[in-house]
Amino acid sequence: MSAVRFEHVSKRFYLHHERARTFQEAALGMLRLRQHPARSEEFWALRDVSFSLERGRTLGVIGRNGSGKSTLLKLLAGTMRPTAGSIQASGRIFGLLELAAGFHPDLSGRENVFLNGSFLGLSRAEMAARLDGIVAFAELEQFIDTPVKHYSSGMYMRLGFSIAISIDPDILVIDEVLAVGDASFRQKCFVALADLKAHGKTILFVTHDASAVRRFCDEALWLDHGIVRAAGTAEAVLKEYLAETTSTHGEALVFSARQDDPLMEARGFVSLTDVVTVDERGRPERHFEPGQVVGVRLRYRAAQRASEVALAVGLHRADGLYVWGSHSPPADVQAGEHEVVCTLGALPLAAAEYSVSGAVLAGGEPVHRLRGAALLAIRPPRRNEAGLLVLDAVWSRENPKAASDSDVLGGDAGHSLGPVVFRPGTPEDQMSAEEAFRMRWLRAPSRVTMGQGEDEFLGHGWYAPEDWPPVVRWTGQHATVHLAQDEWTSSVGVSMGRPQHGAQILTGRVLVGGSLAGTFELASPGIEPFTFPVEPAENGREVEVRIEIDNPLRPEPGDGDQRVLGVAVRDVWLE
Amino acid sequence: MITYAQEHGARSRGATPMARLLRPLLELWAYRDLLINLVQRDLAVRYRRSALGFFWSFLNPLLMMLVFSIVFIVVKPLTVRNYPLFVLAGLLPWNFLTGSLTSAVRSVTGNANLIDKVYFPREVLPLSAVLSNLINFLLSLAVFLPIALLLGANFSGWTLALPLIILTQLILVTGLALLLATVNVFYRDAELVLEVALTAWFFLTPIFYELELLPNQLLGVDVWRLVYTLNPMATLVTDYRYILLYEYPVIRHTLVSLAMGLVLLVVGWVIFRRYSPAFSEEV
Repeated sequence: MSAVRFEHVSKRFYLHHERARTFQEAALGMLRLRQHPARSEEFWALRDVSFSLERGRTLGVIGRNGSGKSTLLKLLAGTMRPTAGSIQASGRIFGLLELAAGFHPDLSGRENVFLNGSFLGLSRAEMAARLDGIVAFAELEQFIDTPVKHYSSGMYMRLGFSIAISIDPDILVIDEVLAVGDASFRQKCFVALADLKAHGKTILFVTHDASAVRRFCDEALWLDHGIVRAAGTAEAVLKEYLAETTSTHGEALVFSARQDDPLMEARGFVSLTDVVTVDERGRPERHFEPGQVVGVRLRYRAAQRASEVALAVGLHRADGLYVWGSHSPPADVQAGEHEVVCTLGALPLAAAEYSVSGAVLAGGEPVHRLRGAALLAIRPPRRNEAGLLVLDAVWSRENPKAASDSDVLGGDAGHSLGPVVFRPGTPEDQMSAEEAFRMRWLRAPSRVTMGQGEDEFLGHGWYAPEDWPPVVRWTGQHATVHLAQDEWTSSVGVSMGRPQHGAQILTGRVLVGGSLAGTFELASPGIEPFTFPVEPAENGREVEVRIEIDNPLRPEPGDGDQRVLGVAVRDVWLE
Repeated sequence: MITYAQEHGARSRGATPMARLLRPLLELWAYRDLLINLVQRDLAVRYRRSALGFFWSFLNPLLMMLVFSIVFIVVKPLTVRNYPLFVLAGLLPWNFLTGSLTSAVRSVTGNANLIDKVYFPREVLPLSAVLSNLINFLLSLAVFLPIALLLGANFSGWTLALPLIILTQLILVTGLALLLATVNVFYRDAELVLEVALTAWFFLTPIFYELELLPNQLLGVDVWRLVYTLNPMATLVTDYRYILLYEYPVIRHTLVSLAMGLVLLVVGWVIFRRYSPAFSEEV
């Protein structure tokens, strides 16, 4: 039975340059002598679009900007009606056209969950039953009672997505929303969507990201200027689409290994229990320097003796690009727990986040797969390179001046340099002490949470940690922390609160790398998150985040606590 | 859990008139929690972070009452018994009307983002504007009644008719709210016109004066009757006063106002339903 059916659907818009928007214009329009006052320009966003989608299938709608994708989704979600044709959809439709549409900035996360749910037709009781799951998935336990205007855009999106998938719709309509959030959350979203798909939900997914369609959809529909250019299996449609759009890395996507979802659940007698990335000494590690040895440790359990068991490891970049895959030679295994390590060596990969998938095969058939089981982040190198890979490239050129000098002068040792060689990368042992010091900061985290081994990254101006709970540290008038800022960074966040005593409003500012990110005012006690926009760093760098307080609390003479107190800080982050 | 089959485009074809009438109501019922949540949101946002909270909305009519009292007791005395109460009893329902209409007129255009992205019965937007103002009004009445009693109002059996008068006003206000919200989508000056119209309406409604101060007969026209029939707010404001302060019966013109309100409600709703599918393209 088809869950969604479009029959000869067309949608016409009028471009509004001539349309009356006020009474005055309408009145003037009536006075016009000509019978038809310059008709609005017609624009067909969709023309004669027909398709049907079976229940439980996933359809990717691809096309360039302005090809009619969003119009198609709005028609399906019911926010617009077609000009011609008919649309049938059975079951509860949920349009994820914009995450967090309808959030009210002054309401807390919790209140917004209920409000958002009711926009989707769910009762308070239904939302109350889902609340814990939503908050846990969004990882916002700490901030759920904070007004959402203090949320970062990432937190906003996380909450919106969590609500969306908790609604349990029969038909889910998604519009490019997965382009948001950090890589690990995006990965989580994909896993959650795969889960919905596995539970028989029908999903329509609109994007211009071919790789997302590739990894996620059964079928695809290619729209071009409102007309269906191709429809069919995702594979076939993408091939046509990519052939035309001549995307260079599209090639890689077409030929990447297909990932199927049914294997996400362990059904066989051999199943994976754990997939982690490890460093050269076998310790679990997620962050790697360029050139550092990376290993993947897989643990699996065999319920009985099994023959020809092989393990596979796959590596995807966060945007879905299939980077690498391999499997072990098959072997017979005894019943019980087993562990295998696949040493990848130093990855010649550019700084990005990658997801690691593991799979186990028995008798040549895959029996269990853990997709996106582990994440691995490669730190930005200090090199003048860009692209997918880090290569041992060498620039060289003859130095004509030096050559001619040595000819004339008969070989002055100081000048006869021969070819000038320049390597993009500088090995660590050749670095100056200052550079070596800065290299240390390449390991700087993007978030520091008090009470979690942050000492290395805190600068001056901090008092000893206090267990409130959660753990906080008081700042003096100024305090600094060192964080990693990369090309995805768009905001700096500080969750902080003011002293309980003292009546005045505490004001201050946050600086990133010496330039002002924003100012804040704290009127009442209680830890609240503040975020301010920052410029991303082109190649990734370590920056000093500085918190300055204008009017810190000065100790009263005779007061027990003699410290100059600024604010109590819980976390500081760049994202 | 609500599961229903949606058939966009072919929505009204083949449906019986009864089903066509019932469907919007059933749909609205299915989204009642949204209505409740929006009303809660309105009230929460309005009163959060203000120390006096709800009393702000009572303070406004109180100040107005003070001003009118000074003018019409001290400067130019009117022969109205218990003038401050008289004014207050008129201002509270009037503020319910203006508050509802000024927020309802922007309720659709101000939520363009939602209209464009999420499907829900659009009526909830103007309805929630009206309902949150209604709650506000009821709270004001709850504060007003004991004060009135203290200052010498006479409640009688007619006071029990209060819910019916409120219902009549609610019907009238809802009809106007739906109409204004629709018009404002297509012509944005509706909200500006409303502002001017409300000021004029305020003076044409006997809020700070008694209608009986006007001459009864003018050029052969019964002025009182004309105002009571044409301006339902004049009737309603007088009704509120009669039953809250003076123990008078109120039937006379109230049925006319009720009829007018019902017509406005039906017309407003039909027009709103007729044009709401186009909202997402226009906002």
